Amino acid sequence: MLALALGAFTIYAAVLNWQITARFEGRRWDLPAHVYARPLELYAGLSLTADQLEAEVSRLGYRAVAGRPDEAGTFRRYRNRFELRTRPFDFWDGSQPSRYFAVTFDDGRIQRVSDGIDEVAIGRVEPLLIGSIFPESGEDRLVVTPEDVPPLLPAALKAVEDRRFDEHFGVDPIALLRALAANVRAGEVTQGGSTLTQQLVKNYFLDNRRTLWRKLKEAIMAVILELHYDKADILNAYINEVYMGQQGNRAIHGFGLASRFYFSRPLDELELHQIALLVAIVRGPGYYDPVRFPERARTRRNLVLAQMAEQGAIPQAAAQQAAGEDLDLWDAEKLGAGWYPAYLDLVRRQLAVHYREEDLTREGLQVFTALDPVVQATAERRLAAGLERLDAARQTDGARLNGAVVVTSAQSGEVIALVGGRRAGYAGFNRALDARRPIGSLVKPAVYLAALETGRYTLASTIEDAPVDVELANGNTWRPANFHEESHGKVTLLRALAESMNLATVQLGLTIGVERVAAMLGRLGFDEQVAPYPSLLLGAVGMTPLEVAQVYGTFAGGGFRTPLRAVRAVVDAGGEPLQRYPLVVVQAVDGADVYQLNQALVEVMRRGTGKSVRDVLSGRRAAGKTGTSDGLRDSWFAGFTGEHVMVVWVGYDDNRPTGLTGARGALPIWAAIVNDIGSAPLAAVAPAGLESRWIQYETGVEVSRFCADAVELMLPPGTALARGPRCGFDLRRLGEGTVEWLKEVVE
Amino acid sequence: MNYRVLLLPALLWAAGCATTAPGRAPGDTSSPVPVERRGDLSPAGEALLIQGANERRAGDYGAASATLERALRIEPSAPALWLELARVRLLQGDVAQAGQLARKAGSLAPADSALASEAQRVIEAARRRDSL
Repeated sequence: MLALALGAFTIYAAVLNWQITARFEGRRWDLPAHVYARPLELYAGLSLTADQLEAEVSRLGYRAVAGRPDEAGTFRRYRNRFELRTRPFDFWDGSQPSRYFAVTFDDGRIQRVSDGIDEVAIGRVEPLLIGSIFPESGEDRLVVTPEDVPPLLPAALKAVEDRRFDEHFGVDPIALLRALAANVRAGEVTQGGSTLTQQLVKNYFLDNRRTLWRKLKEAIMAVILELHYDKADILNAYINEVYMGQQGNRAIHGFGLASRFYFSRPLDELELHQIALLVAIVRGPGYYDPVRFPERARTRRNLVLAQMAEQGAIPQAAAQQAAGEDLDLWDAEKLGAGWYPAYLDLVRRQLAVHYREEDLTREGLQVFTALDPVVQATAERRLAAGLERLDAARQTDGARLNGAVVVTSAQSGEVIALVGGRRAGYAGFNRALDARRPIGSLVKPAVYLAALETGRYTLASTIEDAPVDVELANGNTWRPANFHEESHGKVTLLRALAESMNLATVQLGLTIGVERVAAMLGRLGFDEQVAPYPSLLLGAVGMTPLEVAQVYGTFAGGGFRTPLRAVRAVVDAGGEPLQRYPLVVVQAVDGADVYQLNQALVEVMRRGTGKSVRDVLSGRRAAGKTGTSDGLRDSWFAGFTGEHVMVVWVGYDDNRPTGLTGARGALPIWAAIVNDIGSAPLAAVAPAGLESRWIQYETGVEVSRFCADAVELMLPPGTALARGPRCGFDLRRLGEGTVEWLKEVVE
Repeated sequence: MNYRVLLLPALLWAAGCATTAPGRAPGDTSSPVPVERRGDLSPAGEALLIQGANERRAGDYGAASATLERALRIEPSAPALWLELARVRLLQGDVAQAGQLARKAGSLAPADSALASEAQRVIEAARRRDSL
């Protein structure tokens, strides 16, 4: 009988042995891919203020110091002089050691970057970790090696959790007895008396039931672990394994990630009070959550400090000083470094082309993206505020508008910000990628570009803005109308597009053929098949905000299409580059035709449907187009500056009418973001072969530059233009014209 | 006459001294980036252009690409950077992209500039290579 029991136990122990060693050996934990924002580049001329740089390094958890910043992750600021020492970082294109930069500012720009002695042409700050691609289980971690661990951390853990860790064999009978006594006194299980090894085992199998059987099993496994592995290995496993907090469905595991999560700092930069707080949290990440229960966490932290002092791990005075510190938590929200579910969604989709889900959640890949946290925070804030304002201004039965924003870099096609909805910090329906809505007048530039490309039209050509009956294939008649039901007669292409005239556009589109327009959308970068129905001419085609950004990016790119990318490069756990997503350009349309078109899109902002934001843009040259779908269900604005392409969509999720045109809904949000981020004005070089002509905006006849509604256009050489009336001598106009002429001469 | 044209040789000389290309053989006397390919670049753009060109010369095309794309993020409208990237693609054997990038460079360069004709040369080289 005894032999049988002994045999059964032996088999059981063997099973446990197999389980626990397999788990421990599998210390190649599933390492979620880590995703980084763009690194901030520092160079003379960059549009950046000292405040913005301070915000950037604060997001990265840099510590302000009084003296010269000599340690990695520290900075000093005196008014407009900024010094920092970066952390060493392995970029996708090479390693950068920790570097010291002194930066001075002038008039909203970096004036000079130096290494203290010599000027530095360009240097970069390590990027912000913006998220991970973790498995279904939600387990996220950032593994640290023993060298990354500050010595105070093991000291604190031992002092508080397991005083005899260095001596015991996995279980600590003295601690157990003491806990047992305490439990008997309390009449219930209050103390565990578990060693760090037992806690590690418990964490492996994530079972919180405090049954005796459970405890016994843990104890056996702990002893087995101690037989197989040395203390240092076990301690390092513990430091990487333990559960440290929760953010939505993301479970924070290990001290490495916890340090980033709570302080935005690497573990080895933590100060004493921060280490003590993490050790306090280990005891119960929910109960001692420093964000929700700051006082409770603080009390526990100070207890940790006291015990450390008592055990001789730190001097009494140090403990007392640390106990007086604030919790010093990293306030991600305040620093504009939230959680970016919408952007990460795009990253995941781009990666899915080359990687399997398990590669992303297990292999410890480093993913470098183009996300700009400053632009992202601005776009989130402006969208939320804009929607709030629109909701407040209208009587709605409690229905709340929603929206999306996409910002890309104008020439390289990098997606630098993406807002998927009103509550940007929450994962959910990603409107920027998945809300496919009719684009309305956003389609018109494609119509005019197709017309210009035929060579039969220029922006100065006139077309008829008059009622038209369109015979449809099904025998019905389609009778489009202008927004205000009026018609304007003969108008220039320039004016028809700037003022978004429907009738003129339909006439033009039917003349050149709807197929040309459908094909043009494809060339511009829209991947879906477009049926060439006449209603396409007024935007009866659904696109997502990201797809619109792709199409408008080709306008901004001077006719060159660049596939949009969020990810720049992927590097494996060892730092070896796996995949680069190189810049690719394809000429889709002739540059001269696009340049002509873009002049009309600039005119939209000057005197067309976009003119209401002229003041907001404060003279910044930009190009764009409003879009409003049938029944005012979708309010769009898409446009670009010299630096950014930006698309804003506003509408209801249930597709009910918003009562908003593109100009009233999306445009003010668009302009506010452009202004806030200080986007560089449009300054495209006119392609060879176009020549400057002055025409009358409404009629297209050639006039002198001093005429009241004269517009300068770059047109194909030899464009035949009717001569306009001579303008009366207007001293005021002459004055303006002369000033402009003088400016040109001087420049 | 743009005064910067006069400054360029001096800058070039200084930059050539200041940066040593990784992997560049000692005694390598091949000239740094020719003056006419530079155009008006900021010091940051220029430093990266020189670095990228040196990486290209050292045969490290991956590094050269990364450097030039980094430069293009800073100065997306600088034809000299697009042109240099086109050269790298040509050496990498990506003839189609070499041609496209050179066209992009040409579209941004002032008409009749040295840069524009250099871009044209790369377009033609890519075309010849493509028809082989």
